[in-house]
Amino acid sequence: MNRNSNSYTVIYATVLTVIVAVLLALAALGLKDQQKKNTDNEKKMQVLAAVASHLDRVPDLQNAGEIWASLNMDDNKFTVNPKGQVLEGVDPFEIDSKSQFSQGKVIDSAQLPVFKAVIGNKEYYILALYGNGLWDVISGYVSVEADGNTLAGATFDHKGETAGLGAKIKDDPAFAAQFAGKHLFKDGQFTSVAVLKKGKTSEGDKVDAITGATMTSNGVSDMIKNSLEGYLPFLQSLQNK
Amino acid sequence: MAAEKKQGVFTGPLWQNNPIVVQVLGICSSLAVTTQVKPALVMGISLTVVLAFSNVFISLLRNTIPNRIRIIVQLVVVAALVILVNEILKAYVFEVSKQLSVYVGLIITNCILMGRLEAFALGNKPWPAFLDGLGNGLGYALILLIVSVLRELLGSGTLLGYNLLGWAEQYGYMNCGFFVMPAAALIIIGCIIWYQRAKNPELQEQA
Repeated sequence: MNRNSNSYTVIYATVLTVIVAVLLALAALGLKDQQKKNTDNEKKMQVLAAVASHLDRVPDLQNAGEIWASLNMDDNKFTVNPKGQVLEGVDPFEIDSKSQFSQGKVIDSAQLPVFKAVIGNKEYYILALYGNGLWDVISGYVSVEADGNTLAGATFDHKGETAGLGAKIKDDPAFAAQFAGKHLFKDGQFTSVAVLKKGKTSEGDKVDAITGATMTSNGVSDMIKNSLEGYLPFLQSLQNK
Repeated sequence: MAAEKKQGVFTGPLWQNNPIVVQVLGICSSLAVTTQVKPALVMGISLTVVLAFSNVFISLLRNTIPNRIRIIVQLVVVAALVILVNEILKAYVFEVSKQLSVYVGLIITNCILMGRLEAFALGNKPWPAFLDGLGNGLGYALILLIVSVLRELLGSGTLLGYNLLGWAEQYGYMNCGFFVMPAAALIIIGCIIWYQRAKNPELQEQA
């Protein structure tokens, strides 16, 4: 057979592509469950990191699923909308944060996840954050105490912030640790928690920004304010309890 | 004679004809994944597996591949193997696959692969092609290992995550942050090239 003819070339390419496609599809199907388990565990780890200082061990990829189960997190999660109403039938764990925002603000029809963690006899509500850093998307979780005002912890993640500078929001535990004990409201007004340079003051509570990463720090500040604005009615309902 | 030749096929790329320090291929990934030993090892093993098996497949197909779409066929085989490796890493060593991020996918564009497929697999039988892939892959992994050991030890004071230099901090020792930067990898590779050419004058280019 002439190896340089057009028909041979076309048939060869087609057969090869089909064989490769079938092989890869089979591999993807076979490994899907294990991969889903890994990404779920990673998400559980991030959610739990917001209350890490109240747990008896640090959540990591291996033990996150275990801690999650021991706290009954699956029974205590729910979804709220920006009016503070609980949405039935929406799994907060599967919510894609990105589609709940438009131009940095929570959209009216947003679905916002709430993970309630009961540790000891205290309740913590873990809320999702989503926003923009300097280079790419940043995200995180904050945990709020049952008074709907005091932060119990925070954790942040990023996609492409500068290593050694902006990336510290994730890598430097001291940054996220500053948020514990800060208040979101002052005299009944939502003031959020600002991330500001040392020495600067704001109307509400503040934490120190990362030196050399002003844009990322501003991004975190905006992210907390904008994301929690969607949760305001929910937080107020906690305060009125 | 044949046995001797086969041995050279495997051992040559380990040092005398190393893909990184002699052929200067695959530099990009060797700068990117060598801040720690563990991802460097996984990357080295992944590339070795992909290279050895794509060499075998291309060698098996070498008499049937239409010459006009030769490169495309090579790419399809390499891409399929790389995706397979990536999926397996995601399923079983999730943490490491996160650290390697895009670099596993970029094995597809690693010059060592296309270089070996074009230069060796297309003209040789499967077994020597397998040895050639194994040798080149391990040669790449060896350099990655040397660079990553130096960078993790001097940059973070750890090896495979174990803290080795923590005790020295009370005597005023500080980790050198420079070794975490990609530039350090380039300098280390430069030093290896320097050492190797000094030992093997026949590798020196004529000015």
